[in-house]
Amino acid sequence: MSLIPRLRSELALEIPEPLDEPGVFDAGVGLFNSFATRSLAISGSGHKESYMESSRDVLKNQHTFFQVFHRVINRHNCLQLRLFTAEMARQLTGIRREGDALAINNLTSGLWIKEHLPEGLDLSQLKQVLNHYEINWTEPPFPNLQRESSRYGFAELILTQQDLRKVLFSPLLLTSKLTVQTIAQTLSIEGYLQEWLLNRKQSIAPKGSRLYQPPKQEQLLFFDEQVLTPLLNVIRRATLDSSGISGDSEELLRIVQAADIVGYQLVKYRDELTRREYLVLAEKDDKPLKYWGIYVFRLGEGRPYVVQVPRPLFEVNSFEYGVALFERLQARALMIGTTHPQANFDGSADLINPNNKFSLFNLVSQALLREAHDAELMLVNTRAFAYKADKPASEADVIFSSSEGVVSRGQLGRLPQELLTKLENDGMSVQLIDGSEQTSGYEVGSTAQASYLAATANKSFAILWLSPSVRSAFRQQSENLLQAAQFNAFTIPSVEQDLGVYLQQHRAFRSKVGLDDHFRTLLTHYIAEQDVLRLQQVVDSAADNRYSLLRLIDRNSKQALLLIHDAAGIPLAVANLTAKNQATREVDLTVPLPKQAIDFINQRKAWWYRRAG
Amino acid sequence: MRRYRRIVWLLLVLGTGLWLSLPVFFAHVQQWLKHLQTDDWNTLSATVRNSLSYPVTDRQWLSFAIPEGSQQLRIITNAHIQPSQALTPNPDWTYALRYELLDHNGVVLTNGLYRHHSTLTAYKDQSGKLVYNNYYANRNILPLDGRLILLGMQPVKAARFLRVRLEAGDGVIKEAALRVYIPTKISEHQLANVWLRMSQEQKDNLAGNSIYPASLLSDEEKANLLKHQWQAVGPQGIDGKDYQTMTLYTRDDKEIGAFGDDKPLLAAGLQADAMHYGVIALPEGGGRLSLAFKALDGSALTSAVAADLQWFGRGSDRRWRHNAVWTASSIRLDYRLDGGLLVIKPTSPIIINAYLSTATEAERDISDASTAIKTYLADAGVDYNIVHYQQQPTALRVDVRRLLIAGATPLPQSLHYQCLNARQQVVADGELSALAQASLFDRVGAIIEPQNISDPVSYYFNLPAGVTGFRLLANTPDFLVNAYNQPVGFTKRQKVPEDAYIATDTQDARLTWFPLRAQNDDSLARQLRVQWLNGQYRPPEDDPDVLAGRYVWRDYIPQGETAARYLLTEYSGDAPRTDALASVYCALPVNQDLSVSLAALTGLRSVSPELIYLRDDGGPFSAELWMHRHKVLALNLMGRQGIIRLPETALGYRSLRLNTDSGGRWLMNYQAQCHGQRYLKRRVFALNAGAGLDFVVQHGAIDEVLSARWYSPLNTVERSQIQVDIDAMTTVPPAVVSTTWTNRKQLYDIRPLPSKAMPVLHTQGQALSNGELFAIPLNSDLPAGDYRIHIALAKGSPGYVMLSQTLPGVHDQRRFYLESGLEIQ
Repeated sequence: MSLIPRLRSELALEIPEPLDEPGVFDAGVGLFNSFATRSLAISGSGHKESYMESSRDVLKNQHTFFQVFHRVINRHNCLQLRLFTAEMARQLTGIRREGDALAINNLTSGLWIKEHLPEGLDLSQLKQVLNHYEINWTEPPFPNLQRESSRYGFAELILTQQDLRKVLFSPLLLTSKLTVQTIAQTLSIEGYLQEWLLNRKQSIAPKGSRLYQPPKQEQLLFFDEQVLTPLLNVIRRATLDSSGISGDSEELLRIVQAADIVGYQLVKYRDELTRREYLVLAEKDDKPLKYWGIYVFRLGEGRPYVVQVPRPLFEVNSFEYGVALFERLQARALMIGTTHPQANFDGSADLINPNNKFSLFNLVSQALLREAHDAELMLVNTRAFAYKADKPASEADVIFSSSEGVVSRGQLGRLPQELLTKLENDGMSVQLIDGSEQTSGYEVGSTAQASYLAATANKSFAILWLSPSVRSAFRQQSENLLQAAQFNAFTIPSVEQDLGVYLQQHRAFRSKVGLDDHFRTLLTHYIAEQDVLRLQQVVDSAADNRYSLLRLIDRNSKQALLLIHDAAGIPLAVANLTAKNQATREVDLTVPLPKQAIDFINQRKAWWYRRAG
Repeated sequence: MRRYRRIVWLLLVLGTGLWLSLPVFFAHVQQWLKHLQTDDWNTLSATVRNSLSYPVTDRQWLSFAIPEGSQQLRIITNAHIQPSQALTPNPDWTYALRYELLDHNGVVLTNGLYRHHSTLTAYKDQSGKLVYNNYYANRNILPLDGRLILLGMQPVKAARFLRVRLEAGDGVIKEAALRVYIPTKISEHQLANVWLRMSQEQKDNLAGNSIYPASLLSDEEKANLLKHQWQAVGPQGIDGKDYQTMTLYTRDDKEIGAFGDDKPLLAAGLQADAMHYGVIALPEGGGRLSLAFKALDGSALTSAVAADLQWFGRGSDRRWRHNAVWTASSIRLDYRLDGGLLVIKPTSPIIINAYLSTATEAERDISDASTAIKTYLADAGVDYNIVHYQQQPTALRVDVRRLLIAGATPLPQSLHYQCLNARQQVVADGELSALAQASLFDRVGAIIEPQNISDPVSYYFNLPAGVTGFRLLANTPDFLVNAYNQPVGFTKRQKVPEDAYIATDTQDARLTWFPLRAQNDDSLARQLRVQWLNGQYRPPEDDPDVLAGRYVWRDYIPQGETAARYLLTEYSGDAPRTDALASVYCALPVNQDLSVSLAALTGLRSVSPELIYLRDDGGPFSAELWMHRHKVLALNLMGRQGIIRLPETALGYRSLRLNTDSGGRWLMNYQAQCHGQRYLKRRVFALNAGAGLDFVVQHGAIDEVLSARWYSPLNTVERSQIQVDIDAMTTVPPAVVSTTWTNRKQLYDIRPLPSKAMPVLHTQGQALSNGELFAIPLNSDLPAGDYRIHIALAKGSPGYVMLSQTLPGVHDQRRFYLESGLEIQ
C-alpha cells in the first residue's frame, strides 16, 4: 500500500485485489499517472488466500491497513479498480462462460457509482481510454467494505480483459503534434535501406558498447497496443480496399504520437520509379538511441513472408541479402536488428536468444504472426554460416533450415517450397537440414522468433544460412575500396546510378557491335580473380575494340557493374564485377530493361548482353 | 463371504484413498528431491528442471510407440562424457544417432543417420566454482548440452514405432541420454476446460515464449498453445531390463552464464597496453580531442593509469609529447591537436574512447582507425597465379609475418617460396624470413589473447614472363603471408598534402600495391587458413641524426639551360645550423643601434653578409650602414628589392646601425641569433608545361629520399600535377628479390595551401607561394649508380621547383675557400 501525494486531483485510487486480478495492478498505476490522482492504495494480500484466513481480505475485514487508509485519506472521492472474474460477471450481468469458450464473452466494462460521482473522476477522460463503458448508479451485489464505509462519492470501475489492455497502454498525454515523415525518391526500398546502413553504421550498437537497452515488458506491451497492432490494422485495411494510406489520417497520427513516446518515428517511403510504398518504423535521430531495430512494412499487396535480419553487421552481408530478399519475395515486412549480439556484456542484446524474448524485434515478429490470424505467413531469418575447424563445410550456397524439421523438399509446406524454388531460380544451391555433418548445428532450434510459432496457426519459419561466397556476392560494392582503386588506377570512371534507368537512357543493347570473345574471356578472368593485371589486359583489349568502360554502382543493390559501350557510347554488355557464377543472361528486347536489370542483379550472373545473330 | 464384505469394502476404500493420494505424495516427494538437488548445487539461484531420459548406446536399440497421425517427433539427446573429459581443450564431441521408423508390422519405412556436435555449457557461481547446465544427481557422468532432431512425419504417416540407437564410431561419445516427445492430442472442445483447469504456473509456462503474460493472451493464442504441446513418451519394455531411466536436471537460468564462447568480452573502443600501442588518426583539420580511458570490461578504472602520448603531425618538425595520467576521478583528457597520428602507450591494459570535435562538426567517435588485413597461414601452401601483361615482368610483393606466443622465443624457421612455370616446374626458389619481435601496433585479435604477430617484412619480386605461378610454403603453422601486385608501368599517384593524413575520401581510393587473392583462396578458407589481422597506422620514424642536426644538405641543379631564381621562403624551424646561416636571413631593425652576432661554418674567421631590402614601392631612398660607429656603407638606391653585399667582416658580436628612409623590410644573413622573422634563400628552377627538368642523382645502394618543393604562383587555387620519372643512366638488371621497392613513376597531385607572398629575388615584385614539399624515395632495390630524375608539369600553372637531399649522419665534405676567407661553393 502506498500513499503518493499528488497535487492535481483529489481522487483516491484503490486496488483491492491486485494478486487475484492479473494486470489490474499495472492498469491502476497507469491510471494513477494519467489521472494524477491524489493517492494510490494497493492491497498487499490476495482474496483467494483469505478463504483460509479471512482477516486478510481487505474487502471484508475492518482491521486492515487498507481499510484504515481508505477511511482516513479520502473516502468520499474514491475510485476502486477491479477486473471481471467469472463470479463477478455472473453476479453483475448474469453472463457465464459459453461451452467451449476460453473466456467470458459479451462483457462490457462498467462503472458502479454510489450516490454521486467522485469529484475528481473525469468521465470524458475515462471515455478517451475505454471508448465504451456502462455507468450504473447502483451498488454491485457483492460485499465491499470500502463502499459500505463511504456514503457517497465512491465508484467501482470493473474492467473486461480487453479494456484492461487499453487502460494498460493508453497514452493519455498525447499533446504533441507529430506527423508521418514522407520520403519519395527514385530509389527502391532496397537502395534506401542500403544507403541507410552505409550512412548510419553508428546506428547499430557495436560489440562491447553496452548501448543496447533491453526494453521492459510494459514498454513492449505499450508499443504493441498503441503502435504495432493499430499500424498493422491500418495496413491490412488499406490493402484490402486497395486504398492508399494518407500520412495525415487521424489514426496514423495517433500511432505516430504513441511511437514518439518510445522514441520511434514512422516514415512513409515511396519509390517513385515503381510507385511502391512502405511504412518504416525507425528510431528517431533526435532522441538517444536504444537500438531496438528498424521495421519496414509493405503497403499494398505482398507475399506472405516476413524477412528478418537479426544480426546485420555481425553476420557480414546478411543485411544486404535480407533487403534484397525482401524485394525479391515481395515480402510483407522486413525486420532489421540494430545491435551487435554482444553489445551488452550480459548477452541481453542477442535478439535470437530465447532468454531475451523481451525485445522489440521479437515483439514485431509475434505481432505480425498474431495479426495474420489463421492465414499463412512465413518468417525467413537471414543468417550467415562460416567455415569451422571441427566439421566439414557445406558446399551449398544456402543451408535451408525449416521449423518443419527433417523433411524432404517435397514435404515442405507451400510457402517454404515457394521460397526454395525462388532461391534455386536465382542460381543458389540449397541444402536442407538432413542430419548430415555439414548441416549439424544449423537447425532452427529454440530461436526466440521460432519459439512463438506454438501460439500460432498456419505459420512457418526458416533460417537461410548463407555461405561466405554468397554473402560476398551481396556485399555493398560502393565500399569496395580495392576494386575502386583498381579502376582508378586505369582512370576508368565510376558512377552510382540505377542500372535499369541508365540502360534505358542510353538505349542499351541496340548497338550493332558484338562483344569480342577475347575481351569477354579476359573480363571473365578478372571477375573470377580480381587481379589488377587482368584488369590491365581488359583495358588494353577494350582499347583495341574501341570500347569505353564505365564502372556503375547500382543505387538499389549497391552492386558493382562494368558497362561496356561501343564507339558510339551505346552500352552493348553489362558485367557484374562480383558475380557469383560465370553464367550469362540473354537480353530480351520484349521485356522492359529496368525489370531485366533487377533480375540480372538478383541472379548475380556475370554477363548480360545480346549474342550476335 | 458376507463376513468378509466389510473388510473388502474397507480395503477398497483405503486402496482408493491411497491411489488418489499417490499423485500428491509423488509431487511432494519430487518437490523435496528437487529442493535437495538445488541445495546441493547451492549458491546459484537458478531454477532447475528435471526430465526422465533413457541412456542409449550403439549396442541396443531403444524403441518407442508413436500414436497414429503424429505430425512431428522431437528427439532430444544429451551425450555423456566422463567428468575428467570436461576440461579437454578443443574437444570433438561429435556423435550420430541412427533412427528408424517402422509400421505396425515392424517393417522399416524410413531410416536415417543424424549427426550432432555438442558442447558443454558451464557457468561460474559467485565463488568461482564451475557448475554445469545439465547434470545427474546420482551418476558420475556429465551430460553435454541437448541436441534436437525434429522429424517431419508427413511422408511416413503409417509409422507406429521409432527405434533409436547411437551409431558406433571412433569418437569419445559412447552413450547419450535420449528423450522422445510427440505432439499432444487435444480436441477442439476440450481446449477451454484444459485451459481453465491449468494452474497459473502451467499457463505461464505454456505462454513462456510470448511477450504477453498468460493472462493477456488472446483466445486464439491460448487455443494454439494448447494444441501445440508436446508430451514425453517412454521406451517400450521393462524399466531396468530393456532400458534404464535417469533423471536429467537442466538449469534454465541462462543469465548467470557468460555469453557464447569462452573469450571474455571487451568493451567497445581502442584496446591498448604497454605492449600494444593505440593509434588515433586525426584528420587534416585536427580539432579538440577528448580521450576517455576505462577498464577492459568497460568499467571505470579504479587505479591511476599513466600513458605516454605522442603526436606526429606533417613533417618532422610537427611533433608533441605528453605524459598523461588518468585517475579515478578523471572524466576526460582534452587536447587541441592538428591533423596527424596520436600514439598512446599506456602502462596497463585499457580501452580508449577518442572523440573529436571541430568548429564545424559535432563530437564524433574516432577511436577505431584500424585496418583489416587478410593473410593466409602458409603451412597448407599458398598458391598465387601470376599474370603477365604483354609478356613483361610482373612485380610481386610478399608480406611475411609470424605468429608469436607472448613470452616464448620462436624457433628460427623460414618460409619457402617457389616460382613455377606453366608446367608447374620450379624455376626458382628460396627462403624468406620473418621478424621474431612482436609488433607494437598490429594484432591478431584482442590484446588479452596470448598470440601476437610480428611486423611484416616485405619482399619484392620481379617475376619474368616464364613464371606463371608462385607458391609459399612453411613447415610450421605460424607464418602468415599475403601478396600484392602492381600494373606494369604503374604510376603511383600521391595527393599532397592529403596523403600525409588518413584518407577519408572513399571516392578517391588509391593503392600502390593491389592485394592479390590466392589461387586456392576458397580451399584455404575452408581449411581455416585465412587469418584476418587488425592493423594500425604507423607513425613516421624520425631519423635521430637528422633530429640532432647531423646531416648534410645538398640541392641539385637540372641539366641543360634552365631559368632559375632565388626565392625567399619562410623559415620557421629551430635555430639553423651554422653551415646554413649563409642562406638564412634575419629581419634587421632599422634606424636603431643593434648588437648582432655573426657566425659561420667552423674554421672561417670572416664573412661578407648580404643585406636584402624588400619594399612596396620602387621610389628612390638612401641607406647608411654603421659598424662599430664606422660608416661602412652609404648608398642612394631605388627599386622594390635589392641585394647589397657588405664588406668582409670578422665573426662575433658587432654593433650595427642601419639608417634608411626606405620603409619596407631589411634582412641580413649570418646572424647567429635572430629575434625577428627569418627567411631562407632558395634557388628554384622554372617548370613549365611541356618542358621538364632533368636532374642527375648519384644513388648509393641504400635507402635515400630526395625532397622536392613545388612553388606555384601566389594565390593559385587549382591543383598542380607533377610527374616524376626515375631512370637509370646505365642499365643494371634489378635484383630478383629485394626488401625495398622504388616506384619509378610518380604523380604528385598538389593542393596549394594558403600562403604569404614569398618574394622572388631580382624580379622587382614577383612573388610565389611558400612551396609544397614532396618526397621522392630512391631505395636500395635500385642498383647503385647515376639516375635521371625527370620532373615535368602534367597539369596546372607554371611554377618553380627545387630538388634537394638530406643525407643523415656525418659525411666527408670538401669546401674550398679563397685566401680572403670568403666561402665559395
